[in-house]
Amino acid sequence: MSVLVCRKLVLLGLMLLASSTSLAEGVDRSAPPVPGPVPAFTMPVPVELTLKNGLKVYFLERHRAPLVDLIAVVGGGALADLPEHEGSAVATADLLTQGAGDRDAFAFDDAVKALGAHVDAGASWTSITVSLHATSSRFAEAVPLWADALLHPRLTADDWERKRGEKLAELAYYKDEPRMLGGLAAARTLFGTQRPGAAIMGTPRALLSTTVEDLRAFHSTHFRPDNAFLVVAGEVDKKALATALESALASWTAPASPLPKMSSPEPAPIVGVGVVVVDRPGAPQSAVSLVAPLPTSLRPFDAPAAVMRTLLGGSFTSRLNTNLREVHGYSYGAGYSIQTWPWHRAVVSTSVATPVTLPALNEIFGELARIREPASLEEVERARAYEALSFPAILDGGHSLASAWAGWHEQGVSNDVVTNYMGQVTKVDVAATAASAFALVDPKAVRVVVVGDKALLEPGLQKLGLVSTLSADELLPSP
Amino acid sequence: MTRLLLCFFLAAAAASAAPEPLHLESTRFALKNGLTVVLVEDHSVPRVHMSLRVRTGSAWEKPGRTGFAHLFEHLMFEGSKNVPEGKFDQWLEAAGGENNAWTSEDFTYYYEEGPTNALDLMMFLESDRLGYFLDKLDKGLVDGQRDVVKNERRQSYENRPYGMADLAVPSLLFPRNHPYSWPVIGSMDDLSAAAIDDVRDFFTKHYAPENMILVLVGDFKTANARAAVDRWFSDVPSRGGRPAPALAPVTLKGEKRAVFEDDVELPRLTLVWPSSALFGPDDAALDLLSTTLTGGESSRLVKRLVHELRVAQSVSATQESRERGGQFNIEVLAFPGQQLKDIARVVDEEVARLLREGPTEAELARAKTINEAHLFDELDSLSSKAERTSAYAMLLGDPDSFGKDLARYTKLSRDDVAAAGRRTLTHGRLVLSVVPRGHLEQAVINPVLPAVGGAR
Repeated sequence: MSVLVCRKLVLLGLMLLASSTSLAEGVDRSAPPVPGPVPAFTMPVPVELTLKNGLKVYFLERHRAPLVDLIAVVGGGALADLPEHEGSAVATADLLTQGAGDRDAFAFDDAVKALGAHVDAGASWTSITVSLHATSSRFAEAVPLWADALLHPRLTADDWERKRGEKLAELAYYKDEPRMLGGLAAARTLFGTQRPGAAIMGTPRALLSTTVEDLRAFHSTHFRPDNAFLVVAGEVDKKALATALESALASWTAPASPLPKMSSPEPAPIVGVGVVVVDRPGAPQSAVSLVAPLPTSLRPFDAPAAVMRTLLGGSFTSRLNTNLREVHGYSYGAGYSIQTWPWHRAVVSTSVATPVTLPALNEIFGELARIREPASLEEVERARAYEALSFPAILDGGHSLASAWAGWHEQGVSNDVVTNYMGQVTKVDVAATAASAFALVDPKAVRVVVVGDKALLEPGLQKLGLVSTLSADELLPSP
Repeated sequence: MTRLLLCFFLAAAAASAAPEPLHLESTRFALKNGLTVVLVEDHSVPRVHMSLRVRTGSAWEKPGRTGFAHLFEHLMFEGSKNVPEGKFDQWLEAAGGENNAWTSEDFTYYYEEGPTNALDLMMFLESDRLGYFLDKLDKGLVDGQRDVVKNERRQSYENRPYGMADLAVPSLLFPRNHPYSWPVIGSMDDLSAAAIDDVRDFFTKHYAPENMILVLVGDFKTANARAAVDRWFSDVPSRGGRPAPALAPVTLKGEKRAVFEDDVELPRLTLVWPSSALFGPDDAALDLLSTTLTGGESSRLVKRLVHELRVAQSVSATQESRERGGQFNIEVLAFPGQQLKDIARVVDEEVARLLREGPTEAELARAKTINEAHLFDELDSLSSKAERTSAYAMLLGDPDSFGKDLARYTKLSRDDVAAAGRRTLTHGRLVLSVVPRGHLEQAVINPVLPAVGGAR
């Protein structure tokens, strides 16, 4: 340490001492202040409304900014794509806002923007969501536009032709994106030829064989009020909300036909360690993921699993991030996530400098083994406090609140599970954390996906397990 | 009681009524050491967000030390006199809090957010590093974060499509040695060269409380928070403030063309003009101009390139403003095999028409409405409220400048927007092509000339 700089600081400090009463009182820095009692918090639960057509509306009144977020969740996402037409759900969602009702793509977007609103649609594996974000004062005017996108999209051949061109270009871009290729390779490795083994937005081959009639059929099959629900969060009067929705959705009635069915695939069990490489000659980094199925008995909001996840790779101070980033400097960051919907799997992901790919993988395997041993009390207390006390942050933003409840309702999570969650997490102890890791993490049954320089890495990767390869063209096949 | 007051005018319904100002109640004060503090009560979540904006960034780096301001930002989390290495994050997480930081050309911005009862802890951590950062500094810390930042550079640029071209833009656009002429992430060589003496020097010079704004937004009582700030931050020593010296406006002579070959499938065209600074005279008009060009399906360039000609996957125009100068970007991600010079010609035609005629009344009204709605969204989270408040306090001298900010846009006419465009987009520019390896023929290599019968 430079004496000169240190002296300067001391001198300045002394000068301040003469003029500052606060410093004269002195603040005790010898130990970090211990936080007082945790502020009382109960996650607000939505009020339930039922429209005349039977549609359920979950409403969270919220006063902060004069904004309203409305989300329609329609059952039937990419898992409902027909064979040969993978990508239909995403494509249908994309087209909902490209002209609806008596407006073409330009007029529709102009009308929405003139209100300062957003109407967006997107597809997940299990549903299509159509959402509206508007100021409270313009909400009633904007609802009919949102309803047009939901119920009366134009779905023209010309718009599909254009959108398809954009999507093919987007897929071409993904062939150059290492992390995107890593995600696709991991999915292919776990699911093989099942639907989730291919990109959610489909492949060039599938998109080129899909017509606008296929998308119209997708829309008419799935978009029915008995296959949907709404979530609303924001500053709007309940009565006014009901009036606006009743009026916009009056024509929407359920057909007599049975509800469409959707598959619920799970990754096949895996044995041993296998390695999949997507070759990127000369890449300065390897995009790395380790994937494995999880037991299908694992439910959402499993408190021990959440604490274990936080400790292994769910926060900055987690073991994986501390090891790969702070201790070894191999990476900018590393994380671990668990997924219980619509299927069960766990993923470790990071990007590491090419020359240290193997040492980094050894560290990851070491952490997967170590998490199965009891952690220190300090670590578990930190992980559970972080997991429990960051939960109220979901309320900090109307769209985040509405989306959270939309997801929970879709997964069939009861209000009680949500409101009890913080309390459940707080009860997780060292033994429960280790037991959860023991049940969910197995370093001896995992697939390693590396997007990087194959020639350089292969000899080392062979020590981990059998190495196979996937190419960008195999992951995103063209006709 | 302090409460968010939103008296936004209802544009259509109350067109004739005088607009009520958009207003966010706050308390501002300064400590004796020169630290400016802004407190904003918001009781919608039992949490508090504390941010610290420091007036330093890559523009304040020394030659041969590019990337240093950002590397320094990383070091600020590595401990201080009373906070051992690793404990900044561990103690905060154990209280249910989190943190992050970013560095730009002009600012380094830190935040901590957590449950209200962690406020004292957050202040202890933040004030300890502001007062006593140098006490714990050693070479090992610098080496460790140097590796992390190099990996950040690889992940964000080198191992990403178009990343290397993006890194080259500052040096192509700004004159040699101009403070904005290198990227914030810096060069690998300069990151390797950064030494512990640079760290001491940078901290002492730039991390003066006089150069900072501390903002708290959240579920607290102003009087209590004020007392806590006074308790924790008063022993941070003054180190001498300094304003940001003005920079001479930048212009490019003619058209400067650069071409990159990359592992990409889609050729990309980027046009860049030096432009107005943040809150500068043409800043708001250029925002509205960019919305007219690419903000929506019927915007000029989206309509032409994406809907009609169908030659592009996407197109975006942005007025990217900084404290002392900005850049106006138009970026087109073209379909595979497209000739970027043809696309550049279409862009030029549309821009020329817009600068000549100005936006239509409908386009102008829409662009303003989009901007207004965006300002509302900024009021719907602790973090975005803090970020805005902090920027207003530092750059406009008044944390409650929501109304003033909005007024910059509402007062603009069609002519104002066109004139700002003419002042900016008719001067020299950078034309940057990124093409798939081996396909230089797709790049813009010669001057972009109007097509026969076209307008420029």
